[in-house]
Parts: sequence; structure tokens; C-alpha cells
Amino acid sequence: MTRAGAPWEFLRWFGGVLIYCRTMALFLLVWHLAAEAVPNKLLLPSPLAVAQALRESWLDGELTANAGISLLRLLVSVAAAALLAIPLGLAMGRSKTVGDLLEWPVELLRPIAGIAWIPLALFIFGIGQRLPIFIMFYTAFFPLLLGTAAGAQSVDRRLIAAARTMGLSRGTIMRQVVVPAALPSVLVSLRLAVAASWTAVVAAELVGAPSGLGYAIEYYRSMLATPTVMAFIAAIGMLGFLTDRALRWLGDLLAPWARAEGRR
Amino acid sequence: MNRLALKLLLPILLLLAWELLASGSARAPRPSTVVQAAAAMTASGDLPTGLATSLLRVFLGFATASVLAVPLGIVMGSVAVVERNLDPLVESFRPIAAIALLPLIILWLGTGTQAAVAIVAYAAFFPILINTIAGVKRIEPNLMRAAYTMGVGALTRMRVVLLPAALPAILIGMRIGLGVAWTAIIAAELAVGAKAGGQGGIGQMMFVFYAYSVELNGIVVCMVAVGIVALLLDRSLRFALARAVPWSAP
Amino acid sequence: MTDARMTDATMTDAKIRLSGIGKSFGAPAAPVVAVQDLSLDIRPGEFLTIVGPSGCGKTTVLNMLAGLETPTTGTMTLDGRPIRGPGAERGVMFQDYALFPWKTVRGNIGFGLVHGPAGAGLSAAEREERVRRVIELVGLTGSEEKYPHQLSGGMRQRVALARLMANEPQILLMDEPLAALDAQTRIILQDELLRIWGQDKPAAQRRTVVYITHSIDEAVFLADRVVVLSSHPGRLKRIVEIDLPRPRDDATRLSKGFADLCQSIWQSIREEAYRATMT
Repeated sequence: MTRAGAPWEFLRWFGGVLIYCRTMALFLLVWHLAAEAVPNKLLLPSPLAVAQALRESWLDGELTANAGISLLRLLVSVAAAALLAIPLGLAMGRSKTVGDLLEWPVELLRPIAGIAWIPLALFIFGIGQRLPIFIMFYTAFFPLLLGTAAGAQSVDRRLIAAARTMGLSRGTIMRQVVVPAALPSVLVSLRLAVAASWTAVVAAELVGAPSGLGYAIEYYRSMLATPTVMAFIAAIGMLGFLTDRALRWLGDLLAPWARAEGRR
Repeated sequence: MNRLALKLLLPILLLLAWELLASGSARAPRPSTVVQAAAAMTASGDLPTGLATSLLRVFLGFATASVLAVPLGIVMGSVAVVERNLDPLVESFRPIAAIALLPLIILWLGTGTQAAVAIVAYAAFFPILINTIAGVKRIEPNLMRAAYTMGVGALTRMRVVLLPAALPAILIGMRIGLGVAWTAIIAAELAVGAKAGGQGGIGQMMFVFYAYSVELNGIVVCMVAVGIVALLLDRSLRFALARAVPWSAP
Repeated sequence: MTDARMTDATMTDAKIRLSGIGKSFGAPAAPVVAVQDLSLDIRPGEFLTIVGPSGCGKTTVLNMLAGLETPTTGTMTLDGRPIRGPGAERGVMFQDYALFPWKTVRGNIGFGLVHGPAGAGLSAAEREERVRRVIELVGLTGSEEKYPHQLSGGMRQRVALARLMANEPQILLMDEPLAALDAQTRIILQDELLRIWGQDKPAAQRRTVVYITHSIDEAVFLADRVVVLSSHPGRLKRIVEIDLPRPRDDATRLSKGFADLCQSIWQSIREEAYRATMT
């Protein structure tokens, strides 16, 4: 019904930005006033102190170094999980035998949260690089596996039938029909996997790594540097948000026909 | 019958391989020693107590989250102005994992049940909120209009149309929230156990087994227990969903 | 029927009177006019159908009558009083039926009696009796405990109709209620609709119906008068008196008079309908 022109669209977007700024400004003001009211600055530092701490850890390179380590671990573990889980998921979704074979091991292992592996993994790997990568790999693996399997399983039979009537080979059908049809579901599960892994990295680093954002917040807590703790928490949130945005963008790029799926 | 054999094949093979491979080392846990440990821990009451402590915390936190998130979600879903104005806050806090707040929460609330409940409530809050908002916004507009044209008052419309129409989405949010809450409590207890010497809970038990008694069988027992509880929680909410929403097509 | 009756009704007691109704949507800078300058008197007890090509604002007119939308210009009165918002004396049947998925057939039909003013002053037993009666009237006996998702399209349509009847509104506003059904079911339900409306009864005992459709033969078969709207924006093009005798049945559908009326209405909108379809 609405035939909105470009200026109208722009006004709407601009209004959204204004509301965003107003809400955040109000939130920061309330926080600031609350911080003023609390005598102990260690308990609740003002947003100004947090901004200052954020700036300092940015300038001395500590923020970028720790964030870089955490993001690298995320990338390595999710990439490894995807390399293993996506082909396995396609096989599970398209072959009843593979599906039956893997069903119980998956259903038995999946409820055990990645985080619950931390003590055992600490024992096996010790404190260091391998522990968080293992935990994140494990956390990312199941959403990817099941998302891919569900996507491959729910491919419209008629599409495959149509490809068969055109005389396509099994391999070609897999590449040209099953994979594209399952792609939106794979991409949604990739976003879930990354979000879950990002949660797990904090827990893993908090307990068992000598570096990374999770380690940093725990370290600064023990130093009672609350503003820096909050600055690192904010960094974790922002990076989580940005990774999700990047994945959405990647999804729109790879599967533009599924644009509306899996929003929020 | 054939399919059942296929399904059982890998689990049995894996358990056998684990038993055989681990039998070389005295301390490595094996399925047989894990079962013994589980029996001993159940008999001594340690395992049930630990699980009960963690579960109580989860239920307290989950209930807090539901009580806050469902009404807020209903308001945000039905009043566009409220949603527009609060959305920036939701989008800013949602990506911050509950466990990342742990250091702050320890600072504010210590390492006891209060802190654990706060972590759980924060973790469960966002899935419930977001699903409630989405559920309310997805209601067929004609359902509300139909009640309106029958002269049904605004408050009654809320109760007899909006709430049941959004209920499936709310329950899905709760199911996701409960799963996240259970993971969060394990992480919180582990981390608290690791750094601050808190008390109780299955997560902390695992850490004690790792750090002090080096009892790997105990760790595996705890892991399996965590998995079983997660499964039971999920199944019971699924069941509740099916019972509470008998009208949805199977 | 006769011009005399029309003048009579317009002069004295119109049930609903629309004068100079207009409605536009969208951004104030670039409004889209849906309905323009529509004046119309709806007589008590008449079956009025509104037809027109897509984009003629039929549904908008019905929503305004229901009180779900407010006209941008003009006035609407019901029994001489201005219409402000919905009221239980006007029942609406939506195109998608708007059945509550969590209520059984019985729960849907009794919804207005339990939660709305229609059931005020009725005892629980009286409500149950009313629900039972309309269930029987529309032929849903035996399906009382089913949920909407377990019903066929035709049965859902009956539930929606029964819900409308149960509230006993003076005026029935129906938005393409048969549009989603197959051709045979439509014919059967058209006959039933007329029976339930009371075409066998004296005119004084009938309820007022405003019925939107895009199907010309349906409009002619059901109506006392057919209102023809033109599109972009929706304007009153013609009002056609349907003087086919009642009760109407299959013989009516085959009669020459029926075909002539349909042809005449089609002539007045064919050009626009073509334009709407081909562009």
C-alpha cells in the first residue's frame, strides 16, 4: 500500500538512529548517576571510567592482542567443526544408513554441554591453546551437524526428481541440488554454532587458558580493576555482535534467495 | 530390527574400544570404573546433592527470567513505541554471554546461590524475551480484530486471544532458555570453583575432582549426569509444550 | 424490486448511511486513495453485495463499516448514530475466517457469548443451547470438539458463519467468505447462506447483510441489491436492483433474468477488470 520514496526511507532510517542514540544516552546517564551514588568505585565504576579503560587497553595493544587470540581460536575451531560436520551432516541427511549409524552417538553426546568437558579436557590438554579450541570445536560441531542434516533431509523431493528426469548423476545432484537447497539451513546453524562457541570461549579461557578475552576479564577481576573488566566485557559483546552481522552478510551473499530466513 | 542393530552398533563399538584402550592405564576412566564410581557417588549422596543444588539454582534463575521476560516481551511485542525504544538495549546486551559477566557478578553478589541465580536468570532472559516478542508480533491480526468486533474488551482480548496465540512461541523461548540456563550454571560453578572457592553444585564438584582429588571417574560421572539432566529438562519442556498447545497440527 | 420501494427506504429509515466516505493510506506526503466519495444507504433486512475489480477498496469499505478503520472524510451512521469503532451489533466474518486455533469448534462459536457482550444476561445453559442451535443450523453436529486445523475449508467456513450467527448481530458484515472454497462447495454454501439469512421468512425478520465478493454471479444470486465499485480509487459506479424472486435456488441460476443481470454488471466493470488483470 505504501509507495514510500527514497526521502521517506531515509527519514525512517534516520529516526531509527535517533531513537538508538536517545536510548543509549539515557542508559549511560542512568548508569553514570547510579555510579555516582555508589561510594565504592570498585563496585560500580562510571561509564566514563570504563570508556577510559577501554581506550587505554586499546592504546597499549592489550585489547587487540587478546581479542585477536580469541577470534583466531573461534575461527580455527569453527572452521574445523564445519569441515567435519557439514559433509557428515549431508551424509546423515541423505543416507538412512549413515543417519541410523550416527543417531545414537550424536544424541548421547549432544546433551553434554561443551563447557562440561572443561575439567576432563584440562586433564588431557592442560592449560593452554588446545583446551579452548577443543571446547569450541565441540560446541560448534553439533549445531552444524544437525542443521546440515535437517537441511539435507528436507530438500524438496520434487527437486531431486526433476534433476533425475534430466539424467543427472548422483554426485551432480548432490552438488547442484542438495547442497544449494540445504545451504540456508547450514548458514543458520553456522550462526548458532558461532554464537555458542563465542560463549564457550569465554568460559574456557576463564578457567583454562593463559590468554584471550576470557582470561583478561578474570585477570583484571583479580586485580580489582573493575573498569577494565567492564571494558573487556563490552568488547566481548561487541565482537559477538559484529561476528553475527558478518555471518548474516556472508549468508546474504552465499544464499541470496534465503534472505528472509533465520532473522534475529 | 536391522535398523536397531545399526543404531546400537557405534555406541557399543565405542564403549568397547574405550574399555580396551583405557585398561592399560590405572588412572584412566573406563566404562566399568565409571559405572562403579557412579554407584558409589549415588550411594554416598554426593551426586544427588550436587545435582539438586545446581537444579535448584537453575529453577530459581529460570523462574526469575520468565517472570521478567514474558510480560516485557508481551508489551514490547504489542506496543511498537516501546519496542523501538528498548530494542537498542536488548541488542546491546544480548551478545554478552552470561558467563562473561561472572567476574562482575562475583564482585557484586559473591560466590553463593545468589550469584548463580543471577547468572542463570541473565542467560535465560534473552531467549525468552526474544521469542515472546516474535510470538506476539506474529499473531494473525484478524484474530485480535475478530475478538474486537465481537465487542470483547481490551484486557480480555489480551488474556483470551493474545496470550494463547503467543503461547507456543513463549514456550519455545522457555525451552531454549532452560537449556542455556543449565549450561550457564555448569560454567558458573566450574569457574567459581576454579577461582573463588564457592560452594556446591555439580559444576564445582567436577572442578574439585580435577583440581584436588584427581578423580577422573568422578569427572566422567558428572559429565554424564549433566547430559542426562539436560536431556530430561528438554524433554519435559517439550512435553509441556505438546500438552499446552494441543491445537497445533502435529 | 420497484423504484417506489427504493425511494421509500432511502427517504425513511436507512439502517446504515454512508455519506461522502473517503479513505486514504500511506505516508501523508504520498497518500494512496483507497475509497473516494462513497455515499450509500443500506436498508434494514436487505442482502447487499458489493462487487468490483481488485483494488476497488471493497475490504476497506467493510472494515470501515466494522469500525476497524476510520474514514478519512465523510460520515457513517448506524440507526442515525455515528459509527465509532466496532460494536457487537455488527458481526464480521473475515476472509481468512480468523478462527482461534486454540479453541475447538464449540469454543470458537461460543467465544463472543463467553467473552463479549453478546452473552450478557444469558445463563451458561442458555449459551450452550444457543451454541448447540447454530451448530445444528450450519450442519456441524458431531464436530464440536475438533480444532480448526482438523477441519476442511468448507467446515471452517461453517464454523466462522456459526460464530457470527451465535452472537446474533443485527448486521452481518462478510468479506469474501466463500472465496477460498472450491466451486461445488461454494454453490452449496450459497444456498445455505440464503436459508440461514431467512429468504423463506418475511422480510421484516431478516438480518441486514453486507457481503463483499469478487464473483459477479455470486453477488447477483445472493443480493437484493448489488453495489458495483470502480477501482483506483474505489468509487460508486452503479447500484443494481436484483428483482429475481425469492426463494432462489438452482432454477434461479439457470434463469434468463439471472444471466442478463450478470452480463449487465460484467459489462460495467469489464474494461477495468481487464486493465487490473493485464497490467
